[in-house]
Amino acid sequence: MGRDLTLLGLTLALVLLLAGAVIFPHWLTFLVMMSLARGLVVLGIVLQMRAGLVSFGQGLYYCIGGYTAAMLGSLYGVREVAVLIAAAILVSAAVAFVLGTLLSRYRDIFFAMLSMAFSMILYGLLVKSPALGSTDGFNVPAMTFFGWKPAVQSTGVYVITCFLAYMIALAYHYYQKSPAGYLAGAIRENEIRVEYLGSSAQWLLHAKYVMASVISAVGGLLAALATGHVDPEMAYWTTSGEFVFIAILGGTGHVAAPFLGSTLFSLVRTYAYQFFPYTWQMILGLVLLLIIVFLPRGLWSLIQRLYSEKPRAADR
Amino acid sequence: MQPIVRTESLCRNFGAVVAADNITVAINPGEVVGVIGANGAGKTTFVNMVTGYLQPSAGKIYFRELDITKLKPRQVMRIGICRSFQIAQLFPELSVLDNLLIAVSSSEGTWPNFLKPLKSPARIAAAERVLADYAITSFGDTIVATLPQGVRKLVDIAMAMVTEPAVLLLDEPTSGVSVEEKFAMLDTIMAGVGGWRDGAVRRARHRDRRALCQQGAGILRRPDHRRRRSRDGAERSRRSQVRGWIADSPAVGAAMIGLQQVTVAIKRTDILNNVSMAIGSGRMAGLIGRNGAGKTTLMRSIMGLLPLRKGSIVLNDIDLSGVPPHRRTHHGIGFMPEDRRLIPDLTVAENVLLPAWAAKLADTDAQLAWTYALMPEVQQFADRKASLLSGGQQKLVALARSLMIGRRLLLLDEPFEGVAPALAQRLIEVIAVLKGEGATVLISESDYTYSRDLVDQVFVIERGVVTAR
Amino acid sequence: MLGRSQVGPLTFSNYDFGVILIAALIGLGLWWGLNRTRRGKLLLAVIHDREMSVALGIDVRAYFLLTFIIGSVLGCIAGAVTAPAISVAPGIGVEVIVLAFAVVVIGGLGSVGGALAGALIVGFSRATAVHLLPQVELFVIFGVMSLVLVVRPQGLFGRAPPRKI
Repeated sequence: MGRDLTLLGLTLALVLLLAGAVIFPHWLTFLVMMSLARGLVVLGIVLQMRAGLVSFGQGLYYCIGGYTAAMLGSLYGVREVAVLIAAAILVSAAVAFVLGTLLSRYRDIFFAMLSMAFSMILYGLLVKSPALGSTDGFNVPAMTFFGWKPAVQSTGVYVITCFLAYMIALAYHYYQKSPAGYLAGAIRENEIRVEYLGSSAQWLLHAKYVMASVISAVGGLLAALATGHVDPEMAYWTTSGEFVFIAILGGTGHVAAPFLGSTLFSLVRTYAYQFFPYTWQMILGLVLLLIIVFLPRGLWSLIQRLYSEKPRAADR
Repeated sequence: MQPIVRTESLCRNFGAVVAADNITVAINPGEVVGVIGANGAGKTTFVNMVTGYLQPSAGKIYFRELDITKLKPRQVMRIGICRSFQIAQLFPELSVLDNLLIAVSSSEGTWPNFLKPLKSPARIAAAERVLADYAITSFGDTIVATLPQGVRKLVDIAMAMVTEPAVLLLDEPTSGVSVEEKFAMLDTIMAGVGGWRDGAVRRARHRDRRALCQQGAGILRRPDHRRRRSRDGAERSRRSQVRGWIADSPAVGAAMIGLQQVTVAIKRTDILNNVSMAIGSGRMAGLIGRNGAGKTTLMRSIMGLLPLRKGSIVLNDIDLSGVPPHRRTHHGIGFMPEDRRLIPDLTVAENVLLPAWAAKLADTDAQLAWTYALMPEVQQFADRKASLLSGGQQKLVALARSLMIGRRLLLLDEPFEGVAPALAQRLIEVIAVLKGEGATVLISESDYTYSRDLVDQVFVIERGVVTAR
Repeated sequence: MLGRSQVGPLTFSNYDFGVILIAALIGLGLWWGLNRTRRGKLLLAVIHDREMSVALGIDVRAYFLLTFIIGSVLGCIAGAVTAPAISVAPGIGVEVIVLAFAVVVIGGLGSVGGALAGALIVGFSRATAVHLLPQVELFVIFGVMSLVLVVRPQGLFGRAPPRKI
């Protein structure tokens, strides 16, 4: 075990990104915002993956976060981001608590399919609700950020995104170092023993599900602010599938991996689209396929290899 | 005295199979009680019921006269009943220390502790204390998956003990451990237990109040040392009979299987080191070594389940390195793995037939008839699902399965491990008959307990180095 | 194609009967292959314990290839027989994946009978929804799936995992 460089690394990243608010061109700030926001959703998936569960319905909370922000903003006239954040956390936690009582009883493909089912149900509801813009969704108005009203709306979103991602990443990192975090691996490997040690695998998974949902909802909220728009597509299963894909792409070994994965995904997609407007999907698919084939444990395993000679079996 | 654990007419069946029938026992505080029974007698089922893993079909369980029949394992554990497992239940991808740290932190019970860093000095100290109690400190940083079975069992017991339970149920604590090590290990376990309890327990070990677990007839009778001793005597005479049998085994032929300077590594650690050995046709060889010496690795290498880093393996002049792993059985090699590995969804007959089907044997029926003739007990439960058999019965089926295909060479990995003496005798009889029929056999064992009288030659394996004796 | 036939007051396309017949035959064949043949049993062994299967002499890679080919062929047949009845576009696979997963989960993993039951449940509930309450058509399948899983966590015909200790 070397010294824990995560706190240092994350703080450094935050400082650099905040400096970027001034220097970065608009397209880059947008890319960073979206990568961080979507990285948070992926972080939610990774949190559950470490316990052996793959959620194919994380789009549910991505969508809940986004719609909470958009609805409060355009239907109820809320103009303060702090309120939106609080609301998104509360709503997603409440929904996750209820669904979690059911979902925490399932494993493997059953968990994956049920979680997807719930997100598709939300999708179906939204599509059939004209009041919520049906398939078109609706827009998110401009906001103040804890009282601050920036000259350009996107600067505010950028700063708040960086800060939230930083705080959640840090909390996640310390959570993974706690017994509750380690128990994820324990549950994945041997639930019977976990029970015999006096912990309830079901309750732990339930708690992790709620946490993952809240993190993903915050990601959805930030994405909605960044794009200024929400639509039911956020809950569609292809969206969730993309998040799972990014999770595998990045790896599950470290808190930075999901963000790395989502940044690379956005970059590849942007460039593929720019240079190969007609075949970009194929290019994207090929690049990602190659990464998965040659780095089956995700991008993070590259960094891990630089960092330590022997990859430890536990860091999966 | 008020009993600490009491059961009242516990029953449990799995489908038509009765695993526990009317078990009524009372165990007093401070007592050391043995539960003895043949394989499939219901020992594990009893432990599973008391600890809440299985619900009894009928009957009640009391802890300090409190009804705990309906509690879940974690609730049973919280009131102070812990257990170890026949097959160690660990978190294989974590280190030994991490395994214990998780156990320590889980036992704290209050949730704010759950969010503090796992590796706090206090927890590490507690975990290391337990490691020291069970003499496994040196394995602290080892990933569990790479540990030999014996050490895993100690880790398993250590994990059960971190909570300092009032009752500890050890399910076959020394199975998978060589006989020489068995007593040392029991001493280690009891010393660990004694460190937590008063000295009375330790003394009780020598007086050994045991109880018997017999199939179908309820369990737990008072000890009868005289009877046990006389049974040992019977075993000895049976064994000498087997020796007589072996005397007329066929003459030694050319080398059947030969290993030349074989080196095998797992995760960059050499497990087998420059191993050369040869077994003549029709000979029976023993491979003796402690847990973790490399016995299983050697057999798995012959089966092609592990790649050779150096060297070659030759079977009857065929270089096996040119034979893909799944084709090796087609050359008449049968393998009986230590941990049985039956396919639970298939019936016993189907399990036995699998290798014959895979190799498309021409005389499958004759071979099956021969196998059944040799082991009629397997035929008896031929139509049962393999998952319904006890550990020992599965061992018999695994042997039968290897016989179906292993006409030239049989690799038996720890065949006598974890089976009751009577069943071990039965296995010896079967293997002795095989020898009579001219099969070449390699038997691994932790010591000479059972194989001494069977084998013609002995290889000793230690830290991956094999020497002929 | 193939005309229509009248059953009481209802009109059916004969092509649909053909599709049902093909599906029934393939389903039966698959069930028989898995549960009544040696190859099927060997496949079960591969599914359960890959490494031991190798040691038993089973060509695991060939079996993986075989199952993958069978799966692909079945998918192709399904596409081919449904194509005349729907409008074809490159993206139709997406919808089918979701439906197929739902069918498998409802029926239970590894059970051909379960797949049949799951497919019927999915088909009927969807058709009923289209007929009675078109708004819920999209997610009625997922509603039904959730209901089934609440009652039977391993699916209708799925087996509970075997005892481990």
